[in-house]
This record gives sequence, structure tokens and C-alpha cells, in this order.
Amino acid sequence: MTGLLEIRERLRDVVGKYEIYFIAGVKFALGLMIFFLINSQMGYMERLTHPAVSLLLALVCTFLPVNIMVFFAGVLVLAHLSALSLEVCVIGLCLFLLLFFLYGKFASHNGYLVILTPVLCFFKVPQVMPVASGLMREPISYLSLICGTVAYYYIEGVKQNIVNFTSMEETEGTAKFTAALKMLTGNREMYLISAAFLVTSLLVYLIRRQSVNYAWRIALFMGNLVQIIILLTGYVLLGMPEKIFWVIVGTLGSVAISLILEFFFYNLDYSRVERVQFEDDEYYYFVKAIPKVYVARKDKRVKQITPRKKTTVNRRKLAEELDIDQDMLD
Amino acid sequence: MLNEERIRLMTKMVCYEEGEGKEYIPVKQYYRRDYVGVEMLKTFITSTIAFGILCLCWILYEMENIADILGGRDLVDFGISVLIKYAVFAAVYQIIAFLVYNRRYTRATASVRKYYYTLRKVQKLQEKEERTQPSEGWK
Repeated sequence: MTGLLEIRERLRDVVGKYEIYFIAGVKFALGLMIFFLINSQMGYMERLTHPAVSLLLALVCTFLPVNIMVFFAGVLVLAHLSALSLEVCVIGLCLFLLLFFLYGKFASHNGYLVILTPVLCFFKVPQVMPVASGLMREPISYLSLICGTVAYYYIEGVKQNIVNFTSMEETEGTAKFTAALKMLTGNREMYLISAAFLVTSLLVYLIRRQSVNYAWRIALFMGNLVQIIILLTGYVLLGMPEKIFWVIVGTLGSVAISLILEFFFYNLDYSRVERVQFEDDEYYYFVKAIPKVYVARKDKRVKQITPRKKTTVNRRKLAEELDIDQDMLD
Repeated sequence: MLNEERIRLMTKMVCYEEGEGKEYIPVKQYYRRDYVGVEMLKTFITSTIAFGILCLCWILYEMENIADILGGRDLVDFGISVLIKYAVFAAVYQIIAFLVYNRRYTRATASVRKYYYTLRKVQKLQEKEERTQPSEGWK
């Protein structure tokens, strides 16, 4: 354990020292991943599928706030949708505007959650997000998980129902609008995932705020348990048993990630809990103080035991350097 | 001569201004009432736009049946029912905005208090320095 704590301190030091490069690197990697995913999964506008486009966008996002990445991702999705069908693009635009006006205005600092949720949905392990955000964020952030989920299911719905939108007949315009909207309103899996995420993250938040020992650990295990129960029940009821395997894999990943987060951000020593009571003119205070587990990093110091090599200076050279006569050194 | 204590405090202040303060210092430029009021007004506008988009989506969704839906109903009644829905929608959003921005203002107050305390400390140090330093005329 001590070794792990030392590694944690060293990691914190390194990340703190190179914070600018670290954040830039994370943004670049995330940007590259999201733009590549959009281009590979959609790819309706062929000119945009060139790797240089993803690379360039990721590079631009490296130096800008993460919300710009969300904006570029939205624009890229709309560009692809417009190449497929104008109707789908209009509904997509309406959806993004709704998400922005209804939620984005209140919580503009959740760009990472909005980006990461669809990425993890693509890798079929989005179960990591609600528990992690329940541990690390405030309740206002949890709706950003739903924003990410809705955006993902819209893109996925278009991909699965592509035949409905590639028809060239002009009269089918209204039918395309209806089909695009039905993809959203009739997607029961999307409702299931959104409800599971919301319930899980709120539950994790409520438990971790309690003044009980091991609050974070109880929260993360309870959160994962409730999430797996909701998802398994939901998938069985929806008649999608093939998804159960990925729910289990995602939940296991979620437990691992949550334990790592707990180790890095909430590692407390419950063997040294202190309880104090005191009062002032207005209140009586009952305080419970739990020390953080901390290990001082070992500093390596090299002590010179052997004497330093004496440097011999030639009498003539020294006289030359000082610009005096050699006889004056006697 | 450099005053190390003042430099230390000023560095701390710049760190705050670049980080957490970026969000909270502008909030504290207003009184609570003004800040919450302006944000609620902005929310009213965005919720109105959002309701418009929702209406548009509903029209597109029901495009084929819209004649049937409107045909058998009194248009005034229909308009009133839409207005009631809009009022409820906007009211819910106004309540959310009130709660969110009130909380944000309280947070900003707590966060900026320390910053202003440091600012006063720096000001005092500067005044002290100016008093102890001989004026230009004496040099």
C-alpha cells in the first residue's frame, strides 16, 4: 500500500509540474478520438472523412476550452447529416439547440462529460460515467450524461435506419421528419439508459455526502449495484438479452475506475478519526475529522563521502590569469 | 527593494484570478438581486426559444395528421392550451434558474471573500512601503 501511495504522490507531482502539457495532451487525445469516431461511424460527407480533418480539429481543440470541442463535434455531426438528408440534419440541429438551451446554459462546465458519454457508449461501456460523475461532480452535472446519451442514440438511430433517409423522392420529406423524430421518441433503450444514469449518479451523490465511514466506497458499490439491476431488468423487459454481457463488462470497468478515483481523490485513514465538540455564541458544533492517507515522498540525496579531487593550478598560469608577476605569488 | 510578502500574495491572487476567480469574480460585480434577475431574464429568452423548437418538432412530427388534430377543435381553445403549456414550461425554468443562480451567487461570495481579504492585505503592504520609502525629492 505504501508503494502505491508513493506512486500516487509522484504522479501528482509530475501532473502538477507539467499540468499545461498534461491537459493539452488529454484534450488532443479526446478530440482525436471523438472526431475519428464521428467520421468513421457517420462518414456521409466523404470530404470530411479524411484523417487530416480529424487531426486538424483535434489540434485546434488542444488549445481551446473543452466546450469548443463539443461545438466542433456537433457541427461535424450536422455536416455529415446534411449530406445524408436535410430533414435529419434539421432535426439534429433542433435536438442540439434544445440540449443547449434547456441544459447547457445552466452547466457550461461539463464539456468532458458530454464528450466522454457518447465515446463510452460507442465502446459499449457507458456504465463508468454515472458512478464517476456521482463521485466527482455536483447534481447539476448529471444531466450532461443524458445529453451525451441522447446525442449518441440519435446518431446510432440514423445509422440503423439509413434506408429511411436515403430515398430521393421529394414527397417523402414529411415522412423523413417523422421518422427522424420517432427514432428519438420511440427509442426505449435510450430512456432506459438515461433513467439508469440519472438514478445511479444521484444515488452515488447522496451516499457519498453522508457522514459515515467509507462513504465513497459504499456509494460506488451501491451505485454500481443499482445500475446493473436497473439495466439488467430493463434489457430483459425490452427483450434485448444480447446487451447483458456488455452491461456486466461495463459495470466491472465502472467498479475499477471508481476504485481508482477513490484512491486518488478520497483516500482517508479511518483508523485515526477524531470527533470534537465545541460551541460559540450562536451554534454548537459536532465535528468529525478524518485525516487523509499521505506518505511523504522519499527524497534521494547523494552525499559525497570521498573528498573532491583537488585541482592543481600551475603557478605560471595563475600568475597569467591574475596578470601579475610570478614572484609576487611567493 | 522587492517585498517578498507582497509578491507572494499577488502571485496567489493571480492564480485565483486565472482559475476559480474567472467564474466567480464577474458574478460579484453585481448585487445578488441584479445578477439573479439578469440570469432569469436570459433563461426566459432561452426557454422561449426552446419551447418554440419543441413546438416546431411537434408540428413536424404530426405534419400528416395536423389537419385532423386542428379540424375538430376550436382554434382559440387550442391556442389557450398551448399558452398554458408555455406558461408552465417557462415557470418551471424560471424556478430552476432562480435556484441555480442564487446558489452560484452564494458560492461566488464565499469564494471571492478570501480574494478580497488578500487584496486588502496587499493594499496595506503597498501603503506601508510607500510611507517608508523616501520620496523622489530626497534622493
